[in-house]
Amino acid sequence: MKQNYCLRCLEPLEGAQASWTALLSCEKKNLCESCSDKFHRLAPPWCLHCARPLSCTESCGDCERWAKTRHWSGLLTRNISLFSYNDFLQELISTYKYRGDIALAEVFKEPLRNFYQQYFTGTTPVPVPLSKERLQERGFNQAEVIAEFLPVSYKPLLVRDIHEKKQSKGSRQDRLRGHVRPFVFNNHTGPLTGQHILLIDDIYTTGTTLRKAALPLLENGAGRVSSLTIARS
Amino acid sequence: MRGHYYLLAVAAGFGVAIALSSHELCLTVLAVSVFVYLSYKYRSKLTFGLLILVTFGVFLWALFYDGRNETVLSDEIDIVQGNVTDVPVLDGDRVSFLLQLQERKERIRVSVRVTEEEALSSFRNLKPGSECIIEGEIQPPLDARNFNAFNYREYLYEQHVHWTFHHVQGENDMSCHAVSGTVSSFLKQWRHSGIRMIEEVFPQELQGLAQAMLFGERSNIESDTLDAYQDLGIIHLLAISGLHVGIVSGVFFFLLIRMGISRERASEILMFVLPVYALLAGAAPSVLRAVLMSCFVLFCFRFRFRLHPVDGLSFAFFALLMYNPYLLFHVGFQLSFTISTALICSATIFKRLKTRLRQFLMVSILAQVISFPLIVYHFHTYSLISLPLNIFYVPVISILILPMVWILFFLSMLSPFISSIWLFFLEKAIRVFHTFFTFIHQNHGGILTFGQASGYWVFFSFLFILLALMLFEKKQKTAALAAALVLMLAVYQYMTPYLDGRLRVTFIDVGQGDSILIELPYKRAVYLIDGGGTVMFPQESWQEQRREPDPGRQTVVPYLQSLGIKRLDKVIVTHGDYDHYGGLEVVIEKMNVDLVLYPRVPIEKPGVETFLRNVIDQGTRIEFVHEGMQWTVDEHAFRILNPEQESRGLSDNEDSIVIDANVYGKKWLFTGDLEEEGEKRLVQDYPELRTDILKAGHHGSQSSTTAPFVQHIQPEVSIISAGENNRFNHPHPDVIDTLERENVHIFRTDRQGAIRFYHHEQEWYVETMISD
Repeated sequence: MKQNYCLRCLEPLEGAQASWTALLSCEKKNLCESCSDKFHRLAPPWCLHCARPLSCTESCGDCERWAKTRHWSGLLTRNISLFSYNDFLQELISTYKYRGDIALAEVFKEPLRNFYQQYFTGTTPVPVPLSKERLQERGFNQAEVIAEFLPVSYKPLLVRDIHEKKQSKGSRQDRLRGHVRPFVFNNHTGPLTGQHILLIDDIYTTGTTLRKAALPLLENGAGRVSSLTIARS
Repeated sequence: MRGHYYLLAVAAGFGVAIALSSHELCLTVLAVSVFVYLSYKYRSKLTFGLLILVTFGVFLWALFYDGRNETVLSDEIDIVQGNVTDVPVLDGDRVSFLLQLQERKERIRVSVRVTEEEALSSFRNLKPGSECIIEGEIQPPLDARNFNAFNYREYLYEQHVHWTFHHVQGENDMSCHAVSGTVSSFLKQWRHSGIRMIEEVFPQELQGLAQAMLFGERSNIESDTLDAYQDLGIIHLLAISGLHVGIVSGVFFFLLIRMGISRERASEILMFVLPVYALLAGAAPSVLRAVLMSCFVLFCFRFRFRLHPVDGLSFAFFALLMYNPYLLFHVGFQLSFTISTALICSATIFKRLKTRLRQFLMVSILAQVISFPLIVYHFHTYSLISLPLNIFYVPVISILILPMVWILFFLSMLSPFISSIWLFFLEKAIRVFHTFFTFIHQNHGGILTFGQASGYWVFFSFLFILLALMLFEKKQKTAALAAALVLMLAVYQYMTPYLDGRLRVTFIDVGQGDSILIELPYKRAVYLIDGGGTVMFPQESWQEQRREPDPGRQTVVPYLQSLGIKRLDKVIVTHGDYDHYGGLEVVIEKMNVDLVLYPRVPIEKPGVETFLRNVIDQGTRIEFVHEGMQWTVDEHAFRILNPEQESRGLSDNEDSIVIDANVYGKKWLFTGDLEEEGEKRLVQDYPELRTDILKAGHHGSQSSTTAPFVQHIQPEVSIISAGENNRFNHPHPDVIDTLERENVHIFRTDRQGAIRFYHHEQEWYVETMISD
């Protein structure tokens, strides 16, 4: 019964305000009310393919464009993100990812599990890997840490060969144009047999990275590839 | 541990409940389940161990506490010496107070009957702390004599009182003299003078209200007003609640700061003033809770602790239970803590609401919802207009009336004249409110009768209410589902009487008089034969008590409500004697009655005429019946054997309605007050008449239940409905002899209290309230 503190603002959790949830529920809270209010949670109506908020559930313009391109169509069946990417989330993810506050990942545990159970039961989670250099620099793979939370264990089916320049600093056009293949299928047990693979990553911006990661999987026998991400920008 | 001290309260509550309630097994199972859940919640086995430990400790303490609560007196005592411990309550020619016996650690309740009006003033001035020597008669407190009824003995037991002592002024000796006593009796004397001052200065209509609001003394409120407040669900406004304490301490704090005192000093002063106020205000559980919590808050404010509100509440709960474990069973205590918990835990919900008005509405709704299971459990009824009435009246009381009463009370010490002008207007305003309340109260008032609920029902109601609140707080749509479950439980409780397939006949103990309730299975029909009635001797106006004894109001209606009965198909008035129809006036006013049966004989008594006119005014039909009429419901047949078609002009008693009922193969004969002549006629006119269960005529008087009649109808069982120690000495030994000689099993309400027969799965059962 030690005192719990908000993972983000470090205020004591059982503060001045009482609530029914705190009194009755078994849920472990790790954010205070005011921090948890700052999330913009995604929920339908949204784009059927990339979870972009829409006025009604259908395909968004971006996804239509993806479908029309020769190289990219049909690679990613569906992406779902937990939250919309806002300043608050940007700060949160950068603290987690770049400053190594790995405990913050706990915040995503509950919603991630819920979304997995709601939309992706039966899929095999695969975290998007980091290149060796990046892993060395960061010390951990943020996608792997998140994938740990899922109720089924993930499989490291991919390896990142090419050390790209930091993605988050490139523009949309840069990334769209990059026709490189950074990911390589890597499995000791041989090719896949039609499984539905679920890629796990932190941010979905244009979806290029995820599609690049889907390609080797599909080539090696995966039936479908979807993705579950924390943020949707 | 901050925010988690409620675990202490939960454990203490279970400890006391298991020790003192009669459902220890159920409660132990419940406690263990709750503890398992809590230790899962905290993912800690230590929590479980600690909870069990605290529960066991409190359990032992409660047992020890209860074990010490026993009397050292015997019923041979006829003189007592001790100190008055509270402000004596005056009611007509009765004065009552508690007396702390010297040398013995025991209190008794003294009741005095005043015989001379002049003596009243000396009792009025009888101060708490006074030392008295009183002669009189000692008696054990009355036990409940009816099913589901209020138990006065238990009520006094929980106040550590085991005897009542009766003194008649003038007949026995009594001498009292004031003594200078302790701090506590000094405060009680203040309270005494305050209460008496209100009686002198305040106008009649305001006295009761002002005493209730300032000193927590409710005994002076007119009985009709009190009933209306109770049944309409606004009685809490007459109790000094957290709201009152909040307003009083808020104003006091503000005044101190205005006087230039620092906040720290002000809170220190308030920490001493509030307990004094609690004692002056009568120290009811709700006051103690509010004052204790306020003191915790002030203490933490002063010494810069951060106090979680739930912790404050939990400490108060724990402290009060340790001080007096019986409080757990006190309605006011339960309501006070339940509602406080609900309002504190709903902070998140309130915060979401944008305007003050919406927050206030939400507070009112939540208080209603969370108190609903307890209200139904303790009072069996619930008023639908309680919510709108509270929304309207709570601000009126807290913003307008309470401050006015406070100001006028102090003003009348300084300038009685100015205050009397204001009091005049305030009284007018209050009179309007009270007239309005009694009006809606008499016109149904949206009062729903739920009947006696089980502990399981209360448990599940609370479970679903808490679930609904939690889901609502999380903005989940499933909250509506949980709320629907609560509603379904309410509907279920409302419908339970109609799901009960038992046939039941209850001989209600109304003292000297008759009152018999017949409920057919699934409430296909409900009949009430007579309603008792206490015959009063003519009294002078000063002798009249606020509430005349009325078995209709005090016994019959509460019993009907406890069974969840909403409607009576027939009310049978066997004849025009007050001990049969007197109690029915309230029954007809409060219940939905379809039809009243009255014997077809000339009506001569003015009292009966007034009664029947009232029945018609209430919109109820009257049928004047005679021999030869009959009706059946399903397989159950009823026929009327008396009065004759042409009345022979014998006594009222001989013209009683006699009902011969045949239910589930048993024959019952309800004879009213039929006497020898009538019995003779029945033997002659009905040679085939046989009966299994006979209600002995005329309370077992010598003039009824004659040997030839008993030999003719050959009953197995006979019930005599008479008052305990009645002044007619009913039942007569001859009647008992006759019945015993014929091997008839006798049940007596004067000895066994209420007697209930029921038919369940082909068998007949009988239960008596008091086993002899």
